[in-house]
Amino acid sequence: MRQVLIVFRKDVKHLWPLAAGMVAILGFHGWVDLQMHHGYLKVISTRIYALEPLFALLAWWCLAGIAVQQESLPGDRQYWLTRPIPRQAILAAKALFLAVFVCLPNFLAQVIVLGATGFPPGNYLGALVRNQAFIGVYLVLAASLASVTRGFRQYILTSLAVGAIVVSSIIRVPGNGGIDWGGVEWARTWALQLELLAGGIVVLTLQYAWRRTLGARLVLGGSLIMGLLVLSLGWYHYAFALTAALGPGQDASPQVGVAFDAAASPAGVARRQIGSGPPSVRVAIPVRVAGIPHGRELVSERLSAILQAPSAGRWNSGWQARSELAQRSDRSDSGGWLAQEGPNWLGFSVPTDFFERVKDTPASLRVRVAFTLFTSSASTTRSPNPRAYRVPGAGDCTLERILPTREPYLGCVAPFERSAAVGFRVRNAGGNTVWEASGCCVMSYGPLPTVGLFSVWHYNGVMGTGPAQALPGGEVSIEVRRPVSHFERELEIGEIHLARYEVSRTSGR
Amino acid sequence: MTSAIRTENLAKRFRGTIVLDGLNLDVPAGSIYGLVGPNGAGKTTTIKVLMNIFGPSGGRSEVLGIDSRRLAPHHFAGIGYVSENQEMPEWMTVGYFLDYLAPFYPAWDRSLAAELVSQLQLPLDRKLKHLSRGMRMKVALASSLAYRPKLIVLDEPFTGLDALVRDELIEGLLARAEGTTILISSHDLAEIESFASHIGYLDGHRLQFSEELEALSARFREIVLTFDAPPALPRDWPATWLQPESVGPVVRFVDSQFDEARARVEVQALFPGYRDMAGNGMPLRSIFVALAKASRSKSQE
Repeated sequence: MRQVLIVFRKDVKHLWPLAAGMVAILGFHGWVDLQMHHGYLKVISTRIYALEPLFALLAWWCLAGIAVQQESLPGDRQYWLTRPIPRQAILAAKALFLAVFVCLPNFLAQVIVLGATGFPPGNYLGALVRNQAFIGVYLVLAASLASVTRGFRQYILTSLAVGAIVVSSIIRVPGNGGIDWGGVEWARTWALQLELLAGGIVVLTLQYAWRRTLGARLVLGGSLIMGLLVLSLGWYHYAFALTAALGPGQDASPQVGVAFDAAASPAGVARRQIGSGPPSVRVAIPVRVAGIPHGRELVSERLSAILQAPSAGRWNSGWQARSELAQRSDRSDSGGWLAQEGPNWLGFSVPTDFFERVKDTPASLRVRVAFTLFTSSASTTRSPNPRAYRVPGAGDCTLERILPTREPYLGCVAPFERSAAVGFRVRNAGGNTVWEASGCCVMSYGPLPTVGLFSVWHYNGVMGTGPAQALPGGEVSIEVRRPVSHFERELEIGEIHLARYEVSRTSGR
Repeated sequence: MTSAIRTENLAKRFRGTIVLDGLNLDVPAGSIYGLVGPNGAGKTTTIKVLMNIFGPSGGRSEVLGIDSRRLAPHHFAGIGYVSENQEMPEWMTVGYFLDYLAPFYPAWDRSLAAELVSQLQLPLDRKLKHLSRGMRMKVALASSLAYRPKLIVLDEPFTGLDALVRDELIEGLLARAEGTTILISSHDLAEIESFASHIGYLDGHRLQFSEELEALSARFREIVLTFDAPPALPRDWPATWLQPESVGPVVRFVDSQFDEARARVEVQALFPGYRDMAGNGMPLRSIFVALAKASRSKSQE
């Protein structure tokens, strides 16, 4: 321990300006977090605040690299290699340094933010500690990269290159199911973090125990590729199944069923659109959903469709983000809540060339739909003033107006978790609804918390519809729904003529 | 005499390039051992393998009785290592550097460190990055002597230093390292000769010879034969006679296994008409050059 403290003191003596800068940045970040409590959108729409998290990220990434490279591991000329300075002591000193100048100030800033906004920090102690551990995962990654690079310049250039590869890979890989997996994103985040943590620990062990730079570089490269695969492969189905298995357990096996409504009239072609993606045809298949339990509302998260025709071949949609089961064929009921049994539309997009081959021939369709069952909404009613409301289950909510359209927007911030779906309805003094929104579902279904990192807030927002006007008198009802179970249902149609169910076309630019 | 350093068939390759091959080195405890050899002979690699900076590709080596691959940080509490190209913590002042290192060494002697600072005239408040090359070497040396190590390893410590600084370094080293084994690699043969007790000559990936400097000096002689008329050089020479040359009535060569009686017999056999024979002692530099040239011409054959 004595040796750890000697190295730590040396690093503090040398790096104190950077460390002080880091503390200042985290202090500023805490202040920004405080402002977000009163109006998240207002804060993040300001450029400096929007860039500030990136600035903080760069700051701690650089600090971690510089601290580790004070005793650089690759190479054979470092003075400390032939001194009685144990590498384990060096590693522990770096961990202590980063804990003191990244995790501790962040912890304190978050305690202050919680306390100042009326959330007793003691109630969130576990989440606060866990949040610093999450930061620790990325510090391990930064440290492992710093431990295999020669000098700060190589560290930064490698970081930028890896960052660029990761971002471009996520964007380009098809069948990924979108960049955000919504409620089951937690599974991907955890898988990624565990994989990176394991890789980082192996790299640091190789370097600090045996100084095996080549082996450590290979492990780090493999770990990053694995991380890329975790991010880019389409394992949404398994993430959803895991979420269902670990879910809240209420309504574990509801008798919800989906059946093709062959008697229903097709929706008809509504419009043609120009989109940025590949040319596609949107189809809407009439279905009936039955068995929704009383007092529950159903949301289709995503669906996976497989179309097959002897003359046209086979097409698999994957778990598309832009597919759903909705009350209207044009998806304009954006909330997506299915509270009652009845006619619904199962919509998804088919590539135009496949659609043209299959549309007039009988095809078989097999669809799997991922559902989440929610409690019916619980309302909290307040007068519509611009201050934050404490809403049970949703956190502190603020009704904001988004410039320049001045559309109403309800934003709720809750410490560390997004545990409910929120909607709202604003009525004027005469009792007429002026604005309303019923969005689903910017939240996590995870039984395990996702990252909070440098912010205590998890944000849950929904945009309302209604006329542009000043905040009326009257009241605002904030509706909160909680998920109670997740399950998949399958629908098979032996023979269908897709041409009948076309609703719109999108031609690529 | 026990060995402070010993290697057996030590080999080191870098991506297929052989740097050391079957190196057998024995540095007696308490000796001042000069490891010499031409550029690229593998002196620095040998030292880095001994210091466990590199792992060997084959063979084994021991330092103070410990397998060099098992040299752990705590073993360096008794070993000093000074290298010409070591990366130092540039931001530290000389004083802070010494203060920083002191707690890691149980045997660090603050008064000895102060004496070294004074003797080597080190500016305590100056940052390492602002020091001249010579001054940096002095700092490295002072920081490696202040804990009275059992072994000091110096890799090319005199390269690029002026004569005064060299003298100061050598004085500092010898004055404070009594009883300490010193392994020093250097091109500066004149300096090595002035204080080394043993010499090892590394060339062709292995040690060509290793012996006490006194015995080496006795073994090498420049033989000068004088004739009445220019002689014809015989085709076959003893393998121990190096660099033969003939200028008019004078023939010179280096006898690498000099023994006066034997030399006279061999000279008589090859040059029955010689008028005079002189055996001149050789400085280490001349011995080194003769060996290097002989090695080169041998490899060209």
